[in-house]
Amino acid sequence: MGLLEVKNLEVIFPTLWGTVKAVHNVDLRQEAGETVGLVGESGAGKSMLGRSLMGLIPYPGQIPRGQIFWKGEDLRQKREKEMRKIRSKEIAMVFQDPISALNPLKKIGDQLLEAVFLHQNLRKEEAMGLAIRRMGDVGIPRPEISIQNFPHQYSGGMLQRIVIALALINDPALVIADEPTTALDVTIQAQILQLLKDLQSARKMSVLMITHNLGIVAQFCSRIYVMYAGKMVEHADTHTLFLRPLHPYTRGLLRSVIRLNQKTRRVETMAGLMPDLIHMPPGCAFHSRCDQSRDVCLQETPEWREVEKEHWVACHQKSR
Amino acid sequence: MESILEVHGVKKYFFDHRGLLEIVFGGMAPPVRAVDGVSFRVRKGECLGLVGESGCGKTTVARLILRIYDLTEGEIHFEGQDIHSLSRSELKAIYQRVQIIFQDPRTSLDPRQKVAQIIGEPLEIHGKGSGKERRDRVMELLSLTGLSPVHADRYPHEFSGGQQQRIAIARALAIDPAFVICDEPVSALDVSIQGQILNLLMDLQEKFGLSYLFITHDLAVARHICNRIGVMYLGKIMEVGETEEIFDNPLHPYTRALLSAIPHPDPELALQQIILKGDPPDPRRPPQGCRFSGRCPEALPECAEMEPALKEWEGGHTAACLLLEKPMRR
Repeated sequence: MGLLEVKNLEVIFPTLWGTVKAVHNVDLRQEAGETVGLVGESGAGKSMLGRSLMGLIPYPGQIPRGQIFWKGEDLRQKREKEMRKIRSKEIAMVFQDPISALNPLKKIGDQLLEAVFLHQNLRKEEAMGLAIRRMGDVGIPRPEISIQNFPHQYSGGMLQRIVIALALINDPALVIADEPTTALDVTIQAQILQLLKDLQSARKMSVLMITHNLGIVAQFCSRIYVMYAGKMVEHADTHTLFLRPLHPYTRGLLRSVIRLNQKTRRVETMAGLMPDLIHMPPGCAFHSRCDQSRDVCLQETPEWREVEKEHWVACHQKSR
Repeated sequence: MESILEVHGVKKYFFDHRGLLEIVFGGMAPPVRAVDGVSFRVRKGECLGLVGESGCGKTTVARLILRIYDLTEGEIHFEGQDIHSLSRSELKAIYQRVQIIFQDPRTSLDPRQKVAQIIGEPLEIHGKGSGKERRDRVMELLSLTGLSPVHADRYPHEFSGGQQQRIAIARALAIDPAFVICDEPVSALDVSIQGQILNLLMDLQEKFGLSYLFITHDLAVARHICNRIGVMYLGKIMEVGETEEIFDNPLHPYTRALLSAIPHPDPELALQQIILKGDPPDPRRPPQGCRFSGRCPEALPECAEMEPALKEWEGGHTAACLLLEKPMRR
């Protein structure tokens, strides 16, 4: 069994207008030391899946079904008190917007120390030394002075480094990075991705990279999961997924991405919109946008199955 | 070719509010030099891209063209008229020719107005047509932008982001402008929707012979739609050239770094990234010499002393870099 194994997970949000199925029957596996990508458009459910692994589903979200095995133990059976021992110590998270991820009223050092004292039995000087080392690891200049500063004194790129230092402070085995560079400029994005890559190989940690950017997963992940309307539609290693995508959605997404090295002027597009997650159509969620849909696609939900070794697809046109 | 817009040595400094403490004790932070000496021109019927990272001043340039801000220095000529010396009524005539599409349609569309009111408002302001004629024009614009007449009596929140951006485009086109400023029109949209909006903008440009100033931070987007591209950094233009020239033969080290920083959606293309050190400097205190010198991987000692001027190196391809003046380095 892998480091993390998610089985049949479902996340729902009961609302006045109906139940939103944010995550529906999802499987995911992550091994120690690898970087896995989770891609999809906004509203596909990728952030909710990431948050459910940490037990951080916001109100009124619920997890009615499914298992989340962390090192063989089901996190859904754990009480809040036990989950607190896992968060940050074993699984840590890096959020999209570093400005809202840090407390603006507390010094950066105090925020790092708070995370240390929750999990490690250290004296104040030792903890301070650890905080300074982590700040240095992520490339903050003069860390011993920087920890006395407040978040507003830093740029977005520097703050994201600090958020990464905070995520790494207790040496977690898995870091869930939820759109870690979406709020940043491209040259800063390149810095942060390189940093995550270096830290990951130096510490042998696993990274679950949640992003809508196909360029980032192509360059940084060894395996990729594609989500659409709360469901997994395809999973394969990066090369297979980009060279031989099987699901029509994955193919459409790869065609419609705006490429730097493409000379044609017109952009290929995918017609239609993602269905409403309250009123999901029967059958395959993608059928209304799919150019190959058949009668069976309108009636039956396609099964999530392994069509080739390590290549999973949920599509009735499985063999193509 | 004839130009529709000419921008000459434009500067915009933002000064802080002078509070009582500053009046009594003196001492003010230097102004933010958002745009610090920018010149370019947009030819009739072309799409000029302005690319750069956040804070480089590209949106400020757009706002100066529309006279949302007053200039600190310089001149902006639209069809030969100096925009910043016009009276209010003369400016109104200019606004029939110049329109803008903003980044985020959720905030640029009035949530309390129906779509027909939103699209028809420019017609009303400029006193175009009777009520019936305006309504007909709105219907025409809806189908032109890929929406349907049944959408006319709905509110913006009933639409997806891509459709909302179509409404904003319909509004911008309502009074038949000649020049449209597109300020990051696809940045707030999903990947599969971005292409649709870009194609729509290109179709409309062809159909009506529009000129665009296209502001974006995304070079891949710029490559598709722009004929020429200007690269901005910290309030200055670093390089201007034909789109293919910018991509195939970038002259400025900043353009090269920017191009290399974009992760390709293709695992076969190995990354050869130029990772820049540090953040862009504070626009209140821009560095001496070349503004990029502190982060430039190829900087020479003199780059920190002498500010390079924007010079033409090849036909229509200009760049501001001292390295280019050393023939050995080119």
